[in-house]
Amino acid sequence: MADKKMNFFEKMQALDRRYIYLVVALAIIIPLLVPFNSKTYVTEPTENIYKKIDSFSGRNDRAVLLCFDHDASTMAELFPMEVAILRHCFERDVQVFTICFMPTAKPLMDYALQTAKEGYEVQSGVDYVNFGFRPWAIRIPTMLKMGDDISEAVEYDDEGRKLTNLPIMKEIMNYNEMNLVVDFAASAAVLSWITYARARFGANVAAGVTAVMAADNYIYLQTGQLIGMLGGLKGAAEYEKLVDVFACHMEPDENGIMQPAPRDFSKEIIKNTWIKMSDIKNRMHKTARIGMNAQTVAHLMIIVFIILGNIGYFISKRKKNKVN
Amino acid sequence: MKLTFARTGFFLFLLAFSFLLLPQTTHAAINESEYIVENLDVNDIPNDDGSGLMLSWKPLPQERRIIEYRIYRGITPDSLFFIGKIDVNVKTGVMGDVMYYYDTDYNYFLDTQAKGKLKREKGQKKDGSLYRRYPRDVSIVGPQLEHYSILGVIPEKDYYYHNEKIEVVTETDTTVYAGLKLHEFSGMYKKLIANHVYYYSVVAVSESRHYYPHAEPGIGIPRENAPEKSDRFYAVFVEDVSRLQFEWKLAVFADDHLDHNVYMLHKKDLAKFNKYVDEQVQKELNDIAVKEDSTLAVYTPKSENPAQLISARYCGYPYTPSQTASADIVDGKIVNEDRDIDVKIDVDNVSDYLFVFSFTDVARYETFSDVVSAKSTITGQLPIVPPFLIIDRENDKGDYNRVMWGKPVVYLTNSTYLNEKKTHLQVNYDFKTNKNFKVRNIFFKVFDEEGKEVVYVNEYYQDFKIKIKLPENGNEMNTLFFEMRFKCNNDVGEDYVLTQILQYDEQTQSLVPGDLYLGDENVNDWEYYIYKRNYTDQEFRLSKKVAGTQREVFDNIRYKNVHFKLVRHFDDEKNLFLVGPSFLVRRGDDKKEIISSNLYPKEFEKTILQYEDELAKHIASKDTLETEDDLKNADDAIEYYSKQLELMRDHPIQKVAASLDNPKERIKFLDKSRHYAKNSFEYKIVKSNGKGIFTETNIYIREGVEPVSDENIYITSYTGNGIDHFFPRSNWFNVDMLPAVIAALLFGSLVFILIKKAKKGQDLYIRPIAGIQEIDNAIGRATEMGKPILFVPGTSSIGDVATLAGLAILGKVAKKAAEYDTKILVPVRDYLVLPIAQEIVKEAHYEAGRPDTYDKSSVFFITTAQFAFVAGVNGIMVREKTATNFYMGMFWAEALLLTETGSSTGAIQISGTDAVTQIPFFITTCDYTLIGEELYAASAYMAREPLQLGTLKAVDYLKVIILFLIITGTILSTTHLTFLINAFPEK
Amino acid sequence: MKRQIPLLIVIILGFIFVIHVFVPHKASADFYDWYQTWIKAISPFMVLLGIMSLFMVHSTKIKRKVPNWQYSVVTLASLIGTGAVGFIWGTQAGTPFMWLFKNVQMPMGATMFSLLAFYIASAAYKAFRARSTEATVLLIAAIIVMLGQVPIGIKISKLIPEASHWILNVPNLAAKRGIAMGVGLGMTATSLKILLGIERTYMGGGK
Repeated sequence: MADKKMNFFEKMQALDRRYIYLVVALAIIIPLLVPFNSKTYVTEPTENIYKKIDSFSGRNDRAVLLCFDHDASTMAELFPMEVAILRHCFERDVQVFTICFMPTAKPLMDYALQTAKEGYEVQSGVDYVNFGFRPWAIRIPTMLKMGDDISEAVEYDDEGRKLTNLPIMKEIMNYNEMNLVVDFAASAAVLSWITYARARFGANVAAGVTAVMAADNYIYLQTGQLIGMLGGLKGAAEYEKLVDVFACHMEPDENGIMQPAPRDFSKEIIKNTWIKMSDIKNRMHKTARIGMNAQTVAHLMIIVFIILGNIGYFISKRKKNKVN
Repeated sequence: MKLTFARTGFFLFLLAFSFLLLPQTTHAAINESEYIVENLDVNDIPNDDGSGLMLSWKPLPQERRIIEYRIYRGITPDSLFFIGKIDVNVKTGVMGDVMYYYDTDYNYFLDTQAKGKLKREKGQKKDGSLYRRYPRDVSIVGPQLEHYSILGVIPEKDYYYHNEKIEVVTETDTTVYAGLKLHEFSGMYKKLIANHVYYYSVVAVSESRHYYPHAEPGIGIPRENAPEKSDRFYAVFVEDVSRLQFEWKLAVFADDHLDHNVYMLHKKDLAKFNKYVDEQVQKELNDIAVKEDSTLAVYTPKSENPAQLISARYCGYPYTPSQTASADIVDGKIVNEDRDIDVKIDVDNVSDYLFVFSFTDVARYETFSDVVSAKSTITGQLPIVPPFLIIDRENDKGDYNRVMWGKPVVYLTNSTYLNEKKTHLQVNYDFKTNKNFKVRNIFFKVFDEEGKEVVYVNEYYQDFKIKIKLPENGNEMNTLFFEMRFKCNNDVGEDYVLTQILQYDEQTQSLVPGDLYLGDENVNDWEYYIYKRNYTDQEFRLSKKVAGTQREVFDNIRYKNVHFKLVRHFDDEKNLFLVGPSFLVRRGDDKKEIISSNLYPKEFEKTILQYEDELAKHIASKDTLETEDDLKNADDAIEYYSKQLELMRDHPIQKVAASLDNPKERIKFLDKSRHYAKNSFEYKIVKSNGKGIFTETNIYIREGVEPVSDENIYITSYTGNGIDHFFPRSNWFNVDMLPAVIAALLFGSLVFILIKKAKKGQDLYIRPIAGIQEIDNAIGRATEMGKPILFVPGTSSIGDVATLAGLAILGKVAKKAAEYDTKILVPVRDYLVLPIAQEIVKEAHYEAGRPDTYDKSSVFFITTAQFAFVAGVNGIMVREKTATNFYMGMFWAEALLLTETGSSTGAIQISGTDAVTQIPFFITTCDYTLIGEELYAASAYMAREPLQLGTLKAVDYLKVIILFLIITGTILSTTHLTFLINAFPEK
Repeated sequence: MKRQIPLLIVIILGFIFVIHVFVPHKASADFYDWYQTWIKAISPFMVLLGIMSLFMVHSTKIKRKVPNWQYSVVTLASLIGTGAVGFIWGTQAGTPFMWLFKNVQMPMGATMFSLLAFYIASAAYKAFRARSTEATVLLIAAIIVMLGQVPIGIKISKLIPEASHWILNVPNLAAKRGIAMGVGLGMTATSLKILLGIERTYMGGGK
C-alpha cells in the first residue's frame, strides 16, 4: 500500500508537462463556461477612481477622458475595465471622451464604446465624444494643448465634426473641467499623463494597466500622483462590481417593479452585497469577474500542483536518505 | 493518396492563399447604384471669413460594409481631386444619420510627399472625373493656384539661400518673385476663396477596397460672414482710480478678426442700439442674398451706432490675442489718440452706462456681444500680482524663457483612511514653486473643529503625502483645519501661511479638501494670464493661461523660424512656385512701423527709388491741389512716404545691410536680425477671476542691469534687449547632469587605474559565475551528442547594449564550438544584428583554425515579428534537437516560450539577460542564468584579458561608491538632513 | 585599415553622443536631428539584408532537399505572397494585406502569446520545490501572491491580500532595483569598453 502511494507521488515528480497543460486548460475553460459565485474584494485604488467618476455625475462642467494606449494582445485584461468605466459613465450621466494614439487601439476603442452603449440611450456629441485616433508623434503636444483648450488640441472628433459645435463641449474647456484622465495601457504610457497633464495643469490621472505593469505604478499611487488604478483583470472585476452594486442598483417601486435606483458609494454597502454570477443575465458585464473565477481556479490548481510536487519531493528525499 | 511532406507543403500553401480569392469575389453581383452616397449637401459655414464649407451626406447602412468615404473637390464638376477621407469601422458602421466633412481653414494642399504624376482615381474609367491628390507637377497644380488662397510654409534657410530670382513681365509692369522648388516648402496649405464656386463629391469604399461610383457633385460657395458673437463679456468699474476694465471670451474662429472693440452707450439709447445691431445683421444676410441673386435690392442700414467706441485694439492673428483691456477715465474723458477716441463719461454715474464688446473682421463686419452694465469695485478688491521675474531657462537649447512669480504654494489633494477605526489618515498634497524658492520643509499644523491642535508634521522630504494620527475620542472627525508654512532657501516670511480645510463628504464618505486660502485670498478663484510680445508683433498675445496655484511657466519660443508666403504664381518651365521676395525684419521700437527688406538688394533699391519718386510727385502736386481734402490726402501721403524712406534708409539694420556688398553676407545679417526680433520677448502678467476683476502689471523690466552689451551687431539695434526683451540663450552645459559627469569621470579613471594594475600582472579577484564556467561543459555535451548548439543573441536591436554583450559571448562560444567542430545555429530577429553575427561566427572559425567548417547559412534571419520569431526558433529546437541552447541578450514576453520548449527537448540551457521581468522565467527553466550585470561581465570573464578585467573590477568599485551614497543618503535623510538627496537631480 | 576605420567611426561618434547628453546647445540638438535623418535613410537597406538572408537560407534548403524542406517552401511562398499582396493592393484598411494581418498574423501571434499561461503553470510546478530555506521562502511567497490576486484569498484571510501587496511592494521592488542598478553599471561598462575599443567583437572576431 505504502509503495503504491509513493509511486503516485513519484509519478507526480516526473509528471509530463502536457498533463499540467491539460489541467490548466480545463481550469480556465470550465469556470468560463459555468460561472460560479465568488466575492470580489474591492481595493482602495479602484474605489478612488469610482468615487471620482461618480462625483462628476450629472454635471455638464465635468468630463472624463479615457485614453486607449494598448493593442489587441492585452485586450483580455483591459477591455473589461474600459467597458465597466464607460458603463458607469453612461449609467450615471457622466460626460466622457475617448482618444487613442496608436492605430491598433482605434478598433478596440470603437468596440468598447459599442459594447458599453448597448442598452443605454446615449448620443455621440451629447453624452460622449470619440476624439478618434491621433498620431503618436503628437501625443505630448496634444496633452499639453488640452491644458489650454481641448477643442483646439483635438479640433475634430472621430466623425469629422468640429468639437466646438458639439453640445457636450459647451462647458468643457480644459483639464479644469475634463478633470480626470484614465489611461489604459500595457506599458508605462500613463507616466506622460502624470508629467504633462497632472504636473502642469493639475488634472487627476488614473491608470488601467495589465497585472504585470501594476507593480510599477504603486509608487505613483503612494505619492498620490495617480488618484487610482485598476490592475489587471482583478481591477476590472472590482470596477464591474462597483458599477453593479452602486450605479446600476435597482429597487422595486410601489408596484414591485424593479426600477433603476443608483446610489452613492459606501464601504458598508459593499461589504454586505452579493452579485450573483451564475445568473446568465447581463453576462457581458461580468466578463472580468467570470475571468477572475477562472483565474482563481487556475491559481488553486497550480498551488495544488506545487503542494503535490513538494510532498513527492519530500517523500523521495526521505527514501533516498533511507537508501543512503 | 498518401500524404507526403511535399504534398502537405503544397496543401498548406494552397490553404494559406486561398483567402485571396475571397474578398475579390464577394462584390461580384451587386447593384452598384445602391452604393452611391445620397443627400450630398454642401453648405457655407457661419461666422467665418468665407473660406469654409461643410459637406454632409447620408452614410450608407452598416450592411453595406463601407470602410471609408473619400471626398473630392474641384473647380469644375468634371475634374475633382481627392482631398480627404473619413475612416469607418466596418463592424460598427456610422452612428447617426448624417456624416460631415469640413473643408475649412488652411489645410493640406501639396508637399514633397505628393505623387509625381496625376492619376485617375481607382475604378475610374478613361473619361472619369475623379483624380487622386494633386501631384507634384507644377503644370497641373499651377493653374489651380488662382482658385485658392495658398499659403507656403518655407524654412528660413530655403527661403534665403535656395531661391531663384524670377522676373515676370506683363504689359503694364515687371514683377520680381523668388522662385522656389516644391521641396523647399515644408508644405503648402490651401484656403477656399469667398464667393468662388467649388464642386464636391463623395465616394464610398467597400471593405475589400472597391471604389463605388461617386455621388453627383454638389456645389458650394463659401460666403464671407460676420464674426461669431463673444458669449461672455464683463465690464468692471474701479471707482477709486476711475478705470474701466473689460474681459471677454474669444471666438473659436478668429482668422479674419481685425479688432477687439469696446463700446459704451447710455442706458436710454439701448433701444436705438438694438435697432442698429438688428440692421447690421440684416445687412450681412442681405449681402449674401444679393450675391446669390443679383436682382435683389441692396439693403442699406439707416440708423447710426448710438454707442461710442472707448477701446479698440488690433487682435494680432495668427496668435491668440489678449482678452482683457482697460480704459482710464481722466478728467471725465477716455482718450486714445491712436484710435481717435475721445469720449466723455460721467464718472459719478457710471451705472447709467452700458457696455458692449465687438469683433470686427477684415470685411468690416462687426458682431456685438450682449450689453452689460459695469460692476463697481475698488482697488482693494482687485487681486495683487506678486512680483514677477523673467530669466532664460537654464540647460536648454535656447527655446524657453522662464516666467516666475510669487512664493511657493502647497495644497491638499486627497485623503484616505488607513484603518477601520478611522484614526489613521493619509493626506496627499502637492506643491508648486519656482526657481527662486527651493522648498526645504513644509510644516503642516492640523486643528480640529474646536481649534485644538491635533498634529504637527514637519515634511522635510516631500513625498506628496503625510500620515496623520487622529485622537481616538469616539466620534469621527468631520472637519480638519490645515495651516501650512514653508521653509525655503530664501526667506518666505513668518506670516506666509496657507490654509485649507478637509471636510467630510457624504458622497465619497471621506474627507475632501476644500478651497485653498493664502491669507484671505482664495487661491482657486484666480488665474494668471501671461502676455508676451516680440519685436515683430504689434500687440501682446496670450502665451499661457494657468491656475492660481501655479508659480512658474516655461514659455516656449521656437528657435527655428519659418516664412509664411502666399503662393499665387508659378513657372512651369523651371518647375518653380513664385513667392514675394520682400520680408518683415522687425518693427520699430514703438512696434508700429514695419522694417522690411528684400531678398534681392537691387529690388530693395528700386523700391526706395520708387518711393522717392512718389514723394517728389506728391510734393509737387501740392501746388496744383485746391480742395482741403485733397491737400490733406497729399500731406498724409508725403508723411507716409517720408516715414517709409526713413525706415528703409536710416534704420541701423538697413544701414548695415546696405553696407554689405556680398549678397550672402547681407542675407545672413538680415536673417540673424529677424531671428533676434522674432525670438526676443517682453512680458506682462494679468491675474484675473475671469470676469473682469483683474490686475494687469506693467511690462517686466529687469532693474539694475545693462542691456545686453553684446559686441554682436545683430542686436545693437535692440535697445531693450536684456532689460525688457528677453532672448532665450542656447546653453553649452546641462548643469543637472553634473553628477553624471562626475560619475562618468570617476568611472573612467577607475577603469584606467585598474587596467594599469591588471597589466602589471596584479591578480584581480572576480567572483566565480557558475553560468559562465558551465559554458565549456555545455558545448562539450553538444559535441559528445553530435547535435548542434543554438545561440539566440537576444531579440532586440543592435542599439541595445544587451545585444552587444550577447554578441560578445557569441564570439567566445562560436570559437569553442569551432574548435570542437560542433555546428552552431544563430537565429536573428534584427536585420542589423545579422551581418554582425555572421561576421563574428566567421571570425571565430578562422581563429579556431577551421575556416572550412564555417557555414554562412548557420547564422540567419527569421522575422522581426515577436511571436513568429518564437515559433521559428521553437521549430528549430524541436526538429534539430539542439543539445545546448544559449539565450544571451534582451528578451521580452518570448523568453519563457523559448526556454520552456528548450527544456522539453531536453537541451542544456544557459541564459543571460538584463530584462528584470524575464529573469525569473529564465531561472526556473534554464540550467544556468546570468542575472543582469553578469551578462555584461561574461565576455570579460571568458577573455581574461587585463583590459577587460580592469573594466570589470572598476564596475565593482563604482558599485561600492554608489552603495555608500545610498546608505549615507538614507541615514542622513532619516535624520532630516536632505542635502545629499537634493544634490542629485530629480530625474 | 579595414578594422581601424570603422573603429575610428565608432569612437568618434560614440564620444560625440556622450557629449550630446551633457550639451543641450542648439548645435548639439541640430546635429542629433541631422543624424536621425541619416538613420531613417539607412534603415530600409537593412530590411533588404534580412530578406536576402532569409532567401539564401531557405533556397539552399530547398535545393539540397534537406529534411523538412517543405517548410521552407511555405516560408518563401508566404514571404513573396504577403509582399506581393502589399505591393499590388496597398496596405490600407480593407486590403488583402490588412486582411492577412488581421486574420493570420494577429491570431497566430495571440496564440503564441497565450501559450505563456500554460508554460508559466508548468514552470511554476517544476520550480517551486522546498529544496532549501530560500526556496521555501520563495514557495510561500509565491503562494501568498497567487492567493492575494484572486477573490478566494480574502476569503481565507484578510491578511493575504495585504501580505501579497507587501511582498510585491517591498522585497520584490528592492530586488528589482538592485538588479536594475547592476544592469545600469554593466551597460555603462560595456559601452565604455566599446567606446575605448577594448570590446570589438561586434565588428567580428576580436583581435
